[in-house]
Amino acid sequence: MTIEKDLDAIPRLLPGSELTNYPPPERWDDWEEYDARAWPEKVKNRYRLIPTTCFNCESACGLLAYVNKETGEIRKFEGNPAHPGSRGRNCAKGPATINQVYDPERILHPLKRVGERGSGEWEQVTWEDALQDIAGRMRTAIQEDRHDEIMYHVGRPGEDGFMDRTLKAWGVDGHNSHTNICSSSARVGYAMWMGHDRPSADFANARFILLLSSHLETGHYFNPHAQRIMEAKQSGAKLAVIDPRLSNTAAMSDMWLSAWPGTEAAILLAIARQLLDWDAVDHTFMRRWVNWQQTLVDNHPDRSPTYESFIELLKETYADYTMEYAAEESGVAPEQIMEIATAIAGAGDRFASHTWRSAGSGNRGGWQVARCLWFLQVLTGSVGTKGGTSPNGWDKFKPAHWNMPPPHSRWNEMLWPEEYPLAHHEMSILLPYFLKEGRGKVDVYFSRVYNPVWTNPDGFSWIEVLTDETKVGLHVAMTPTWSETAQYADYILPMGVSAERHDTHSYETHAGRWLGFRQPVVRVAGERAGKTYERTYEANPGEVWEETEFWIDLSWRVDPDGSLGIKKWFESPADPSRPVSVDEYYGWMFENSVPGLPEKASAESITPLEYMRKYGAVEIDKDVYSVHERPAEKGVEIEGKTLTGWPTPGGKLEWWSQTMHEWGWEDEAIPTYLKTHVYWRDMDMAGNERILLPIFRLPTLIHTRSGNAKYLYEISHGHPLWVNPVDADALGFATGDLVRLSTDSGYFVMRAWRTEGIRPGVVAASHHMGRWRLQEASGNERWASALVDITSDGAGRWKLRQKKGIEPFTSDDPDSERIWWKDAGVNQNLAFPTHPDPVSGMHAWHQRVRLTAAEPGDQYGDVMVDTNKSLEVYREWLELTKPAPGPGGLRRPLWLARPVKPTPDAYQI
Amino acid sequence: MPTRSEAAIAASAEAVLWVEITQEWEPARHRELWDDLPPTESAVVRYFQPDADLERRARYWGYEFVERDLADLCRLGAALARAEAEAWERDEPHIATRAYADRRFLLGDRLLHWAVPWLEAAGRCHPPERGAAEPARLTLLELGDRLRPAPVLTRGTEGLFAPGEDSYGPIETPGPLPDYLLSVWSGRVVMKATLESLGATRLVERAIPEAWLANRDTRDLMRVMYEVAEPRWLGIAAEHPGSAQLWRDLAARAGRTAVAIGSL
Repeated sequence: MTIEKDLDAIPRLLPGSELTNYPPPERWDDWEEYDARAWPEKVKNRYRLIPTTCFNCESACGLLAYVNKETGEIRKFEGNPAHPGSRGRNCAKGPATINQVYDPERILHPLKRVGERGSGEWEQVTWEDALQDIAGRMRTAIQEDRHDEIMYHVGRPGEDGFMDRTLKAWGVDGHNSHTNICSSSARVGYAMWMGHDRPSADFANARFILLLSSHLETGHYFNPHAQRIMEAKQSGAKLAVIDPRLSNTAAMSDMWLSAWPGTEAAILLAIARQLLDWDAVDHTFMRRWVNWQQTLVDNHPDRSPTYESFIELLKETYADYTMEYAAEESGVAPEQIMEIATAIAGAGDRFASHTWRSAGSGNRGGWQVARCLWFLQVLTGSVGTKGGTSPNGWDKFKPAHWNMPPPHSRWNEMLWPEEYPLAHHEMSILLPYFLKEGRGKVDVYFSRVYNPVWTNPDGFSWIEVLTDETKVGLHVAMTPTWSETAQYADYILPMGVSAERHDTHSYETHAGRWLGFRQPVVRVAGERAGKTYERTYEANPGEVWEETEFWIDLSWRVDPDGSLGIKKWFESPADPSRPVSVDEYYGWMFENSVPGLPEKASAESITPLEYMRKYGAVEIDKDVYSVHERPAEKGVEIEGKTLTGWPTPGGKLEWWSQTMHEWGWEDEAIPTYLKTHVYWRDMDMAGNERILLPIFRLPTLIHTRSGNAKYLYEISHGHPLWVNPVDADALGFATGDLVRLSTDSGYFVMRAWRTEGIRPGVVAASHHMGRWRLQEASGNERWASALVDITSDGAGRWKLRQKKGIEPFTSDDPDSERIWWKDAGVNQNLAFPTHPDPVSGMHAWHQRVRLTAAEPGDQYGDVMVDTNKSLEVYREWLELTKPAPGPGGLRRPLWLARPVKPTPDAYQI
Repeated sequence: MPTRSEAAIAASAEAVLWVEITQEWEPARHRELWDDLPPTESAVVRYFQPDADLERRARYWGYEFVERDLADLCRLGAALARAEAEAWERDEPHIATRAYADRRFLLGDRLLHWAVPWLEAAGRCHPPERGAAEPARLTLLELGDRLRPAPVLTRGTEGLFAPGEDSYGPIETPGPLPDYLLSVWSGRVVMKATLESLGATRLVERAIPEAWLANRDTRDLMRVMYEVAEPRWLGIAAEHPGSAQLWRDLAARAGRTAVAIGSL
């Protein structure tokens, strides 16, 4: 026999055909495993494996909770192989849920403040007492037509649509979000092109992937996206990352372009120009789907209204964006940019890209980065294609909610001020200034899984208003963990983590749609064993509750007799004398609004709700491409056919935005390059000014919520200031030296780390560190926080000083005495004045900083701020705005999305 | 960057060894042996159903089992060896190392411990099959020396196995002796032909008649059969260090079984 002949007889294997090492679903209800801790004894434990979804970032990956059938305790969390987004894989944050559930420092009962706000004195109260007190105050506000004084401020939503319904039922325009410190910049860039506000890259099938900033792929959608990027790379795709910092993703990429912050758009437009020069353009796609006729007729009436004329217009518009120009602006070699352009041209319609935070959220005008990046997708026709990039709306499924109330007719100017008519989300970052200026007050403020004191810029201004009861009447912190903000609450209401609550969600993880179902796993396991529960807190640790039931019960108490018209939206359809149950609510949703789910459930002789409780997710469809080309009753007319098109005013992709034009931003109506507020040529680089990049993420931490995850802090517990050796030498810093970084409102003190992983002229510090607490044993988790003193002169000058870092402590968890890490980091955000971008409303995070050696008396972690200065900076940026009204006397374009969208008449000023 | 590494060459060469067994031991070519004692782990071990672990690994590779017999398992081994070779050439070490690890698991946990004793018994009890059985047995042992799934540890007491177990499983006899003797766990493979030879009679099924163990003569024959197996396995252990722990454990089992039969 010859070798060749033998090998021919061997079957060819397909590695990765299926995930292995997962218990098969048919055995999830009775799974046996040996107890590893009992070794060498062989002790079998029996578990129910209950699926849920992770709550530790946005992407809602599937988890399987191992619930011990004998003790009812959760043993561990692993991946859920039935989840179409995560496919059984998880990052470190998912399994760390077990830490969050059994954290010995956890808030287990509703707490009510007994001393001054911020004094750290609490008493345990019952849920009923808390509900009655909060509801009474809300009822009074609604009866007195002060609806807008009720505000729900959400950090990590973790749900999809329930709060929209609840606020509509209340008739309250009080939805506030974290989006303007997060993603509203990129959202505006994408929305102005296509109506949809974020992309959905089909990474797995791409030939070339370009990531502007690695943020999403290392931190946010890390798990579902990274696994598909790896698949693409295994199939030969190339990956390029534009990021001033060598991120984890950049380190794994084929090309890393370390550009000056804020110059990314120049690079992208140089690539666009090159594609036009090469005619590497998908003219069929462009001709059908770009608003070239409208552009020429409305904005260039002097030109011939032909497609060819439009292409000439593009070439003329971007003629100055040569490779050399882009290279001079960005600091990236022209050959590298050309290499990217070549790769994009070669990929054709299999070019996938993504930008979300970093470049967009760091810079004034950063929203144009998303706009310029999508321009490349449009030029290459890689929009909605296999291996290309789609809008998120195609790959995210939104089920209908039961008995949806109609929209209200209110407009809350504290959230949607006239100065920011195009802001993609609420101007939450300005709330402290609006309260100080007397624009209004908040009578009932729900901070819900949100921590603005620590997370937002200028946290001391937040403390100033949160401690002023004339500005914030009642502060209710709904949180699964302690937080800096909860320290300044009147009530702390303990809410469940991923294994302790009901939610639905769906995200654009790939070219397909799915719906995930989060559920309280101990309750579900108990119910399968025959137990009954009225409320989820009966099954959760202590009295930890879930929000779905909380809002239902709260709404009943706000409107006990139904006279406000609120209660009816929360009554059981089977028995209106009692509140709707979660089974009724989600049972209706799964039976009536999820395509294919009833059929899948029927095939297993179970109900749709039982199906979702069994698998935790359902795949709705896969291989979703070219939705814009689908015939539709209402849509856009293309070559004699009505097609779905795009949710823009004209139904097409808008290279030129009439909206931008009409609302006063004529020069920014097309994809263009805007100079950032931290433009490198404006810096005194010869002196000690540098650009601070403060917004990168540590992939294993979760903003506030990782504070009680010991696994995660054992992995990530350092907070260095990244400094290139060129800068370190010029400024005289060695690794470990204390550095004072001065901003426009104060300063903070960190330790330098010399590294080639950041471009010269830029320094960087992660936004995931710097947790602090005011009391020794409460106020924040001791796994992650420093004990600090905060002092104020009462006139706006604040100082935070660490009394001690992280230390071992005694608790029911023996691991707490084994803590070996010490660094809690520095809460740098406190010293950042707020920079609201005049178009997107996004806080432009990057800071101009002056680096000096620490002064005598400076200590690591010191933060000093003058909130009078931060107020001045806010007002300087406010001057950049172009306030409403816009065309038709509107507060905001009607077609733009917004949460809890009111009726059109509310848009009139 | 594609590479033609030594590892790829070694894996390709190994694929040939696996495929030789596969082609020789297709079930249709050895019906007589199948009628006696099929070459599958479940038949030869009896007390252990190897469903889940190998199944899960095979699913990763998209491999579907047919009979789970010697040829089937060796076909997977060949495919894994080729997958490893090709992965090295494509510069995909994560695939290559997984193929190696899964092949080592296949050989060490799902194949060697029963297939070598079975081939040894098949060749001796069915002389016409010896020409096929002996090369296959030696090839498996050679693969064991290459992949080294069960080398003897320094002292033999390092805690690799749970107390009360060895590389085969629980040391304690899991059932009545007549049943236990039909399992390789007893220390050797006893084929139906062996039993017919011992009793000089045709048997309807491969089973030990109740009277045999009560009868001193047949009991002594059985005891001696296990006594001679013990040094034979120790000899194989000395010659094949890559799988020696298996044969040392099997020798100990044969010795214990001989004592158990003798003490009846």
